[in-house]
Formats: sequence, C-alpha cells, structure tokens
Amino acid sequence: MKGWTGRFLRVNLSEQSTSVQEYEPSLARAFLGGRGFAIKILWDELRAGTAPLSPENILVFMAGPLTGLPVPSSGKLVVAAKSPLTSGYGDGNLGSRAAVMLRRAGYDGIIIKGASDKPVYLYIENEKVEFLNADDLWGMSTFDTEKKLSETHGKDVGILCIGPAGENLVLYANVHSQEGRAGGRPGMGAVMGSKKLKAIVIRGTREIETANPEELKRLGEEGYEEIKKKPNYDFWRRQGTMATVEWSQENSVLPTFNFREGEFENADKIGGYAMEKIKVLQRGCPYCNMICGNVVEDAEGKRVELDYENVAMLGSDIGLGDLKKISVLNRLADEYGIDTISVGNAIGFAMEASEKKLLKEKIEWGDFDAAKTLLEDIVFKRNDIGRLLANGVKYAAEKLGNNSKDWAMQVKGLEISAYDCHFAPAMALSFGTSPIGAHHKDAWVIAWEVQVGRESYTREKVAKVIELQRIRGGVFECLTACRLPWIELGFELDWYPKFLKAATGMEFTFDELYRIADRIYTLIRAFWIREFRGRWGREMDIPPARWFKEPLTKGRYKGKTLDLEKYNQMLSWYYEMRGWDERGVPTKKALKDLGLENIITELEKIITLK
Amino acid sequence: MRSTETRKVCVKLLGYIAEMLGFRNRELNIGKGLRVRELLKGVNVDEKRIIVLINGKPANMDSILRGGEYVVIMPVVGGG
Repeated sequence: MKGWTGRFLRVNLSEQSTSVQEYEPSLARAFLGGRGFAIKILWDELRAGTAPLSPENILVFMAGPLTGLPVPSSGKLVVAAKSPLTSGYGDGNLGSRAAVMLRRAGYDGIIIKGASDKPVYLYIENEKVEFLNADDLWGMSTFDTEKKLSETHGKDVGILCIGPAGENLVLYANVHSQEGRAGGRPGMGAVMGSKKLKAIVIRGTREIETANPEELKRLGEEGYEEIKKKPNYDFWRRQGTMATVEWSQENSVLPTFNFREGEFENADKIGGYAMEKIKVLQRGCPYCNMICGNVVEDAEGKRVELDYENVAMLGSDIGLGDLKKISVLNRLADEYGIDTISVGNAIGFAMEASEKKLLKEKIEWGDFDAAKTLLEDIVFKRNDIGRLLANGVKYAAEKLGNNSKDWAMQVKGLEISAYDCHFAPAMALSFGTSPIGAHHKDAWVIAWEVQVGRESYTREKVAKVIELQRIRGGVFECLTACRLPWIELGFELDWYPKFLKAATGMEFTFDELYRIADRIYTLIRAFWIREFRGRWGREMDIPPARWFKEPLTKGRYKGKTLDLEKYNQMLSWYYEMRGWDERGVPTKKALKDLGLENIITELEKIITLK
Repeated sequence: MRSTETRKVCVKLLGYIAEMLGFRNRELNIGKGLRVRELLKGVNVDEKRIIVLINGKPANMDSILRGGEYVVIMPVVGGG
C-alpha cells in the first residue's frame, strides 16, 4: 500500500502490551481513513452496551491517507470512542504535530483498549513503544503537561494529552495538543482519563511512502500557492474564525443568553476587530498556510488562542461582553482540557436555571467571576452544582425538571455549537442529524441557507445538508485534512482526488467518495441504534423545544421560531434520501447498497429492519 | 422631478469585502439606481462566494438598488 502505512498500533493498557496490525487494503478502499476507520473498528470490536468509562471502551486515534503529507492543512487526526456524554458514537478532530508524527512512526492509527491502574503515558518512537509513569503529570494542566513532556523528550515530538477535566471524568473533557488545539467534544478526554492515560508522545522518523512523491510535492506546492491567491486569504490570516462573530450578529444567529436570542448588544466588543487589538501572536497546525490560531493576552495577562465557537459560547451565550475576560475562560477551559462549547452551554444553562430559581446559587448573566468559579466547580466536581453540570446539560435538566429540558440546548446529549436556529431550519436539521450530537462540523449549512432564504423548509435544503455531511463529515474527516481551505477560502474540492491519486496511486471519483461517506454515516447510525436498543426513535434527531416554542424577542427577526411540523417533514425527507425508515433506522436495501449487508444480522437482533 | 433626486442606500460590508472597499458601514449615493455589482467594481471578490441581502432578503449581484434599501454584502465565511 502507498499513501496509507497499512498499519495500526494496538495498545492494551491493562496488560501493558502492544502489537502491530497490518490491515487489509480493502479496509482503506471502503472506509478511507480517520472517522471511517474509527467507526469500523468501534462497530466490529466494541461490545454493545459497554460502559463508556470502563476499561472495555476502545479509544481510537486515526489519521488518513493525506495526513502528514505536504499538501494543504493535512496535519490533523481523529479521536473517537463510545461517548460517555451521549452513550453513542463520539469523535472529533484536532490539528497536531502528533498526527504527522504518528504517520512518520509508521502507523495510520492507534487502538487503545483496557485501562492502567496508575497514571501512565505512552512514548512511541517508530517500533518502540513504552509505558511510562505519569504520577508527576497527573493533575497538571494541558499546557504544563506538554511543557514537561517536551523537556523530557525534546521539542520535536508530537503530544496529545488530557487535563484535570479528563482525569476527573467530566463528560465533555476533550483531548488537547499545542496549547489550545482540541478535539473529541463528546468526552474523548474523559475516556482517556478513565484509562489513566495522561498523554501520548510520538516521535516518527520515517518517510511516509507515497505512490508518486514528485507529483505530490508539485501538487502540494501549487495548492498552497492557489490558497494564497484567494481574495480573502489576507483577511483570514488577520481574523480567522473570529470574523464570524460579526457575521453571526448581522444574521441574528449569534447565540445569546443560552440561545434565547440571536443578537448580542456587545457583539462588536467580542468580534474579530476587538480581537485584533489584543492579538500578540499567530500560529497554526502542521502543513497549514492559513494559520488561524489567533493568540491574545487575556485579562490575567496570560496567552490564549481564540476561536469563534469558544468566544460565542463563553461570551454572548452567557451574556459576557468583555473579550479579555472571555479569553480567561477560554484559556482555563484549554488548560483544564474541557470543551469550550459544552462548558459555555453548561454555564449559560446554570445562569438561566438560577434566574428561574431552579438553583439556589445566584449566577447572573454576564457575571465573569461567577462563570469562572463555576467552570472550576465543574472541572474539579468540587460541589453539587459542579457535579451536576459536569455530566452535561441533558443530565442537568433531567435532575432539575420543571421543563428545563426545553432549554437544555443539546441534541443526543451533546451541547449545541454556536449558531442559533430560531430562524434557520436547515441549520437546525444539521444539528439534529449530526452523527455525534449537535455539532457544526458535519454540515455547516447556515451560510448557504442565508443565501437561498431562511423561511423555507424544502427538499433542496435537506439535500444540501446531506451534500455537506458527505463532504465535511465524510471526505475531510477521513482524509484527514482540514476543511477550512475549502469552506473558508474556496479552495476547490477537485484538488483532493488529485492529492489522493498522487499519495495512494488510486483513482477516487466524487461518486465513490460520497458513497464512502454514506457508508460511514449509516454505520454510525447503526452504532447508535445498537447502543440505544429499544430507546432509539426519531425524537433523537430533533433539537430542543426552545427553538420551536419561544420566539426571538429582539432584533430584525423578532417573533421567529422553527415550525415543528415542517421540521419533521424535512427530517422525513432526510431519512428518505438516506434510505432510512421513518424511525431513522437504515433499511435493509440501504445497507446492501452501501456494502453493509454483513451488519444486518446483528442489527436485527435489536430492531426489525424494513 | 424625482429622477433628478440623488437616491441613497445604506451599505454594510463584512469581512474581507469591507477591507477591500475601505469601509464597513456607509450611506452611499446611487444616482438614479444601480446594480449591486457596481458597488464592488474594481474589487477582487469571488462572486460565487458572496452573499447579498437587501432589506434582509436574499438578493444577488444583479439585483437593482432603487434607493432607501439596506444592503449587506458578506463573504461565505465559515467559523468552523
């Protein structure tokens, strides 16, 4: 095989043993890499009903056929496991030197089973794998952990680690790298913590073998040049994703006061222009020339990397309009290794619950000190409210009752990322059908929806959501390369089959790539159904009642809500286009068409397929 | 008589488009009227990746402004 290394590193933490698996080339052709490999392994090897924080859960790090090659923005990997937050499939991607090092060490992925009794970290150098004592690192922030490990192993290694949130099993702890790069929102960091695995350090010194290295180099150079020529390249380098604050405000989709509103009175104080005034440094992921990591100095004089999602969820959504203070919350979340989107939701939920007198604590909108305290209450589970919110807003609403589930802003247990959908039905469907719970990664359809008109609930919108899921959630998550050159700058998709051909020697048409994406989506869906058994139903794909029942009270779209009946119509069309039945369960025909007939028997033990 | 009046529109530009034209918000005279495209004359933008809203409704580069409108021109930004 070329392009792929064709090898997985298998690690058993209980036994402190490792082995190398040479996988079949047919796996690569059918599942491509990254997310595709992750779900295939979890489906095949994870026993249904496994407790997510038990040693039996499987933690998977997967790269793809473009990872670490000299083509645009290819320095990423996917981390996946059964999610402790949602009890379904969970994953996320992050940019890290560890992705590049993993491939240079000769692996496309790491599959981790079992759990250690004591804190350990893995040191991987090509064929050598060591289990090293992590007693001294346990309790350290992600920033300090990396610093310490770089001192021990050198600066030329790739590091993935967790912070105290992962150690303390906060259900939305994630995996971190390079001071602020994070992935695995649905608790991949907690799974790592449950295995007492503090970090993975990788040094790879080999060439990644490709089919046509000269062609790949030439194409890569051309690609980087093409990206630089895009009209918004310079501005992107200035503001990165932070420009979206202004965009979302203009379109009334900036989450404000726990998604009650879509406009925030202090939006101009927390946007891209405000960020530029306090920016001190810029950095990026490996093999990227868009370097969107905007580092600012926060209100406590420390450095942190800002992004749109973080700032919206820890800013407007909790009513905080001071960017330097938001930056403190962002930094603490990164240091503790907790997902900024979910913790922003949790704080917003608590502020609203306090306002409604469902909590005894007084936590007012926009109260920075209270938000900071609460964030630490959650990370360290140091009191009742911290323990309540550490399990996510779905759980908190179940405990608090009083219809708080209507404004616990989540789908399938994963908190919603930073786009308000009172007046964006396609984006609501995107959150509803995202395969990890409410996340924007798979189908960021909002810009297109603004362009074509927001009122309508049409088949065209449903088709667009699926198209984006194929490209973003399918192709990019498998390659694994960053989608931002394409989505942000208009770097054409046609480049990617060319990169793939040069890397692997294989031709991939878009038809085939989309079929792979559909296969992955359907297998992820089957995973959820297998885990949920009799509890699965189409209500799992419906966003919270707030967007349907409580109109916007401010701004140019005052009075708007989603229409539940029409949303359900779109959901039915979605199922129909995917070949799933009215329950959202794949049909036998769809499974056969996608080459998944071998899972029919197992699924039929749980549910009758149509 | 009306045809000799100077008509005005409020224009809001987002992202790199604002940088290229040198303003974010401005009231502009449009003479007797003009197409949206003419507002962006001489500027390097990717037309396929531009969103135009006139009074909050989807429009495009060929839409004609007649005066009194609020026009927003923005790139297809991502934010993730």
